[in-house]
Amino acid sequence: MGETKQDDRLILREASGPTPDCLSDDELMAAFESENGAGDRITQHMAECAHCQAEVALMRDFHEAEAGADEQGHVAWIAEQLKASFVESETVERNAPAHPRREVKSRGSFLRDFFGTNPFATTAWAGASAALLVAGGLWIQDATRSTLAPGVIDGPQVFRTTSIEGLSPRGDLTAPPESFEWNAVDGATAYKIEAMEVDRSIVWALQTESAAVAAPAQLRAIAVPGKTLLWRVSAVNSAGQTVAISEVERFRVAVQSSGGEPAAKKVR
Amino acid sequence: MRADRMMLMCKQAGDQALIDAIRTAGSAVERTRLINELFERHYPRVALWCLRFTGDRESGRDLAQDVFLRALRGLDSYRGASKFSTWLYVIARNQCIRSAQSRASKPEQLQDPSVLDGRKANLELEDERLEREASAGFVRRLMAETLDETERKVMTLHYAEDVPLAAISRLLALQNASGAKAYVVSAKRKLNRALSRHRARDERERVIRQEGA
Ligand SMILES: [Zn+2]
Repeated sequence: MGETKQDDRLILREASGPTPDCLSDDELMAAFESENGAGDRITQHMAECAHCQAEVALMRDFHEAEAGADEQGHVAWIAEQLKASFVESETVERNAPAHPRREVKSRGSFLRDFFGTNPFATTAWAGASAALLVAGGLWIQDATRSTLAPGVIDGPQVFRTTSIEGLSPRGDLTAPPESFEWNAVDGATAYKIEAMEVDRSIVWALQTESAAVAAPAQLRAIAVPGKTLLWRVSAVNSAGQTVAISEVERFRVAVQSSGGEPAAKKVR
Repeated sequence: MRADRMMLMCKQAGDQALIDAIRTAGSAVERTRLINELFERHYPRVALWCLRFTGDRESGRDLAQDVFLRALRGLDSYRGASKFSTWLYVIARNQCIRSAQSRASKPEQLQDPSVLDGRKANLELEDERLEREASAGFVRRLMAETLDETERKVMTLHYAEDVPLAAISRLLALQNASGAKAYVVSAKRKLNRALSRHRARDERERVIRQEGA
């Protein structure tokens, strides 16, 4: 019974998810904006794919959504917060320094956005980002609580090189992961890795000095097809303080196409 | 004064004109101002989406900030083939899906308040299981053929993107008592009906073939 429910979930996950034939983001955008006037491939695919139909319908919802009476106040508040975080460029010097003020704190995705390996393509944009960054000090400080685990330092010790990212495994895999890998962090003497169920209960944790570790057999055993697992890595300095923590990455072993599997006959 | 005039001009200009101005801006300060102007136009829309997705305004704000940071980072790659708002939606969608996974731990996200109490038991009873012989490819086709738009959105968000039912109910502004759950139930029922129809047809054809042989 429970097993059957699980089967349903796997089938429905696969049936409602994207296939290799599905429209790219660019094609989805074209499908949404030109409705019937999109190219042949797009029109034809849209006619038969529930997933892409849903994606385009959600794009329309996004554009047409109207805040209800109970939502308007919250929307206005969020918009104000966004404004406060991005404005006040007048106060920013034209040649703002390309590094954050010392009181700027770590925020996983934020640091990755600005100090990761993929900064703005042109120096012109780098100038803009630096300006926004300094102006945005308010919410950088504000946002620490939601993403940092207890015990993570929140002082000025976090600098640009402390951004850490779980590199592998990520996304859909063809087999259970052989290893976990991340980028090395300046000043880190150890890395703590945690693998979790989707409810965040920890299934495996380990501390290591290198920037990669072999996946243990017990973890590979529970990584059955279709089961999503999460993991994250944090960097620890010689004083035992956590100096960086990655975003939670997810992975799962993809469900094999059900073609070859004999279907159990249902007794009615 | 000059700044005021510029802001006024910007408000009148379309997003694309604003983006062109951003690309050719002469100083970092001007660029920043123009980006703010562009983003501000879209704050309410993204704020509402993120509010509905997360269910509380603080988390909604954090999510919306991530969306605009990613938009800022990727602005160079925006070529204007689609509307800026559509491009922004794709960023918001990806960011929401990420957060759905990392927020899965919060108890509030795990349970759907709209299906608690008495209704839950009834719905569970009606929650049919799929026929065992259904293959994913076949179900995919049936989903396109038999489900209505809301059912397709609910199934995609819930099963393919791991979005909790409560968040889906908010996102799609579903007003019925049990929200997204009811659409999962009705979608499964439709799929089962379609599967039995197909099975009955296959059986008929098999019998006809046998009789003909
Ligand atoms: Zn598709």
